[in-house]
Amino acid sequence: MNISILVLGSPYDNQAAYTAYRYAKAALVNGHQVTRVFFYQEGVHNGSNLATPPQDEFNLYRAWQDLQEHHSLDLVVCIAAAARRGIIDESEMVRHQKDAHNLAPGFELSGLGQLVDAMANSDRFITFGR
Amino acid sequence: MPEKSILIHLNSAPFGCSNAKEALDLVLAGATFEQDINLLLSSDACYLLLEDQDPAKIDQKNIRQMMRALGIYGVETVYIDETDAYSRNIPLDECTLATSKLSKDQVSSLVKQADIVIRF
Repeated sequence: MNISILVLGSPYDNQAAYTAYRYAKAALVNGHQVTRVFFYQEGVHNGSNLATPPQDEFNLYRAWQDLQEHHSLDLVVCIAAAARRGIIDESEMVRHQKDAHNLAPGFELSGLGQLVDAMANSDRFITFGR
Repeated sequence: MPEKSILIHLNSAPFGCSNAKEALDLVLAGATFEQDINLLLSSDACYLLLEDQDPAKIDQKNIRQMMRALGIYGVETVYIDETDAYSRNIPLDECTLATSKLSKDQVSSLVKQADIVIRF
């Protein structure tokens, strides 16, 4: 089955993003395809490369990247929602004339069209809210 | 792109959090990509229907403009939870947007009919 996932919650403040991660991993382990994980609203913070949780705590940021590496997962962060919240990649850094960029490896910025495409082309679509 | 029936169910007040703005952005995106996209307003989201809002006073853009654009994007009607609107004294008769008033049972049917529901 093709499954797409929408993540609306930031890591740490609540469990939504962590549960989304667990769900994605379980789906992949059970032989399903995860077409795309789309991060919108506060979910964009999952794509931060600057977050540094204490070493004895679960690192959800790193976990998303590991999952992406192992399964060639499509992790897409809404570009408009991310720019508003201070998550930008290198090309946005240049475009907005900023000094740094902080989108983690494995994530990409794109528009809401990618979310609509994921909804249209998946057998199942599930949202993890705040 | 296959066409799905997508329901955006907005529960939040127009201002005070980003839900209304970001839900409407998604409605417009869905319509742009020719999905069967519908918007349902319930609870405090019904305040979106009030005329003469002046969010410039809190340095916010007027998202009523986005509501007015819905028709241009092919979203013909906005579904309203009638009970929630009446309990907030929102005069639906004076509303200039095309709306369909739904009872609680009709809201349930609308949710049931949709392929995908996203709540904000």
